[in-house]
Amino acid sequence: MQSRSRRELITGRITAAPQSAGASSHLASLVVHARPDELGAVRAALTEMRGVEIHAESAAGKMVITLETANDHEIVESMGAIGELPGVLSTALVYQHSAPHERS
Amino acid sequence: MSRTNLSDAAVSRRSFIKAQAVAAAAAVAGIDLPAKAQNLSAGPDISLKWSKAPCRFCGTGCGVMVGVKDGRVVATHGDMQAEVNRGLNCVKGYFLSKIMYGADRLTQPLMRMKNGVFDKNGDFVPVSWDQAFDEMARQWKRVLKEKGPTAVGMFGSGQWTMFEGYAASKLMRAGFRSNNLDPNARHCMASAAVGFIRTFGMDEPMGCYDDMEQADAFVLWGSNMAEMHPILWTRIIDRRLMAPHVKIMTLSTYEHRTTDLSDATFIFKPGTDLAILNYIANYLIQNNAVKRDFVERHCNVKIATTDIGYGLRAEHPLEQRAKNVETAPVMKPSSFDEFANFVSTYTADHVADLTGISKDRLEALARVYADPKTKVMSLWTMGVNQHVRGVWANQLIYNLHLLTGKISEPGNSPFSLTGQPSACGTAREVGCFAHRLPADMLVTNPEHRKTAEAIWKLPPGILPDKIGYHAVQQDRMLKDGKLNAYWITTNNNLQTAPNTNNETYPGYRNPQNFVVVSEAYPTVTAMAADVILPTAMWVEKEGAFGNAERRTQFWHELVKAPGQARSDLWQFMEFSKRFTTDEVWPEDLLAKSPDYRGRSLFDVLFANGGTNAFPLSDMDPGYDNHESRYFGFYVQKGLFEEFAKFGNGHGHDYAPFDSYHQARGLRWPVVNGQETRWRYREGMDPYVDKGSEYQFYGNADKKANLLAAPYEPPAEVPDQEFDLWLVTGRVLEHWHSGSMTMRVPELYRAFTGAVLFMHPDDAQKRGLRRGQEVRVLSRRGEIRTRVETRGRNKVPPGLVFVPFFDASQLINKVTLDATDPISKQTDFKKCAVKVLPAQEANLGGGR
Repeated sequence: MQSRSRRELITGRITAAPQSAGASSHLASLVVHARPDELGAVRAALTEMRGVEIHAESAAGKMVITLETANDHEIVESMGAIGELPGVLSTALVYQHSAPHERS
Repeated sequence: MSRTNLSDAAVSRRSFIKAQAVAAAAAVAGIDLPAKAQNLSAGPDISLKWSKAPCRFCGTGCGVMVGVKDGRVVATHGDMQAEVNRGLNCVKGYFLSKIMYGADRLTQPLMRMKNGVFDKNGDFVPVSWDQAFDEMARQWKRVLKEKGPTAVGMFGSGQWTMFEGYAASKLMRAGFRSNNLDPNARHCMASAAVGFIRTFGMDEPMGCYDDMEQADAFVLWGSNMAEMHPILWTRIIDRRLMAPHVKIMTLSTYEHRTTDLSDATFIFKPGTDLAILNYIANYLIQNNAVKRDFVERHCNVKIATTDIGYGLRAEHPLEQRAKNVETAPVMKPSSFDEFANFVSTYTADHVADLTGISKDRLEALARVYADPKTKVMSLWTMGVNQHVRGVWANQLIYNLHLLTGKISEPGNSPFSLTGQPSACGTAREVGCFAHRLPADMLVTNPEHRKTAEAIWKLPPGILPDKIGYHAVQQDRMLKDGKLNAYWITTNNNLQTAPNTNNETYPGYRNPQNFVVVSEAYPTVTAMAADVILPTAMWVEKEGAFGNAERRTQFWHELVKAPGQARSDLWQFMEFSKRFTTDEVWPEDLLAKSPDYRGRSLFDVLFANGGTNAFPLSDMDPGYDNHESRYFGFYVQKGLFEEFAKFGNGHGHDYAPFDSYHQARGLRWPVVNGQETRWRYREGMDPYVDKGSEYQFYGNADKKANLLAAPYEPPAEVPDQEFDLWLVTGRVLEHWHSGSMTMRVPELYRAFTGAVLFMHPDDAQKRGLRRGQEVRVLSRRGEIRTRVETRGRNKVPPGLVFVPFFDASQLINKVTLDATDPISKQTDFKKCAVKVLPAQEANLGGGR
């Protein structure tokens, strides 16, 4: 491991570039809470998103969805995007599982 | 890779896991699932072992179930039995299973070497624990001999387990006889802690999260809860939607996700929150909304010492100019009439002018507190605490609740949120501040030192009576060569301290100093050290955290730390073996207590008959425990039961150790097996006498303090040259300095680099386009970043926001090391900068 100079600190050249974790599959279940009167629009937007599946919803505006991707970063990007959809009040994670792909 | 490549068994496992995930989410949301989704009963064996643990990120203290397979954490879900989060986690919970597995995890000690020996200018070389500790001990002994205990220090953490903080406190104060121990929590909630003590004589909130289901109004004073405390935010949103009369009102210096979702938003000029608070107090008095009998029976009135400076170096012109730097903490007795007169100058006209909020909107906010039928929960975090008058701001919020008697009952609750998982449990309850001992005791109080010496089985007079260096002072003393042997752990101070380029980095690299960093990853702080010790994190050790609502939560060691990484607890205890009392304690004290001569610090601090009182057979056989197995006794149990003696019987009671491994946390004081949800209120708190109604028993006369304190301006305000306010803070996806979350590839992708949030008009005025590279300069330093004129943070003209998680854009080179003079907490929310296009700046040359 290299030591770092003050110059690197000052110029901001210190960045830990994370490496890819390799092939894996990611699954998360979420509770998305939408304003009840905007549930339809939120549902429509979610349906458009890759890897999203809606499993159930309540009149109070809560939806149970899963996010499923083979690609690491999509889950977090999707969670961020869902959280910023108009009409969404909160997005919470309930269950997450990641595992390397299992081949036969 | 496509799913068709998966074996049938894998597909079946995957469907099963998915069905479980859906069922869990449905249960948490209280939604019935369609029949087809309910077939859960018989699934394939996915052989996960599930155990509970609190989340390791913020101070909310969410319960998490952690799934371990083949010695690795592979899954987590929100713990449905946890009252805090009821099965939910925020996006950071997604990364709990990954933070331990970053590609650049540190797994062996590293030391700067040249020609086989330590050299401060050498490169990092892998060494054994013995080599690292030998060199550290040599340096510590050299410094102790040359300069004495005030030249050694430790910078700890609100992310330490309570056991770690407690062991560190014993090692530093009793072992090395130095109070130069401070936590990074100094940067995040020292003002809150000091505000509690000055008002109630006792730290931490009187209420709890249950208030969120009872309040009629939520007033957020400087907190972006939707992003920073998302799970508590879901509780507030649930309350808001279930009871339509409930309102959320948010005060901030810029718009963010929380203001988007609030019923009313108040954007005020930086620092003027003090004036708003005094205006509301004035409104309450003018409109007969004060509950006079409550104030008379349960409050004293005090007046603050004013013109107290800004916690800068003594030679700074602002300190020279301030009249009352030395007496800053003094509160003088006053009267209600004097208080009323004091706040009477905060009229609607004056405060509207000062803050930029219209009179009618100010009044709408004041009415929330004034209406006797509206139960109010006030919530705050860094906006109030990271404030050159943060202690006052905390106290002025308490004023509103005390004047109206809206306190210590369900739904009426001034509630200070915390940013770190054990800011309360470790930094505050255990007492890791330079002035504090466990259970709110103080190093300057001879009776408190005597109590500590008795519980710790130490000779009288061992504990030092001088307050040690606080966080910012440690950096200054390192730079000035007065603090020379220094251990930094579980924080990334070179990224998070203020004015780092001038005040932090020079001290770490000062040739007179020897700096050790215990870390899980090569942070900028670790890279600036002389020795790096690889640290076990979160469920790689048995631990305890205390969250913001006084809830103490335990977890077991669930997986092995990689390589040679060991917990901080192991590091402190093992390092103590390298010192004898003769080497570190003064001869006159040893002469009076000759039994202590020639013994190792490990013997007198940890093998003292107390800490080592519990055998390995007390451990849960289902879990490993690397420290206990190594030392031969149940370390965590011994430390906890010894620590609990400090508070039991006077309002800081904990339950027996073992019960915390069963319960989903318990809120102290725990008396006769019962936790306390609301303190200071008769019938709810066992320490309050019958017939008294309320007793704020932290103070001798059991009364709380109202404080008259003025608006005083920030340390630095924009001027002609440095024409913008700079506010720094967090973003949802990255936690604090990103040491952990930036290691997770997904998170890194989600928000890869810090940006400068700027109003479109300000960008246009400077000829800047969205995405353009710019320099952000202050009188202290500069960074390069890119302009963002859209996105989730919408700043007003004249103010810019830069998050601090990105190690390649160290915004703290730009910030000012001004602190609240009473709490010594830095103001990271207010300094003056200018923003220039990077290209044009380059043409200037020679700068």
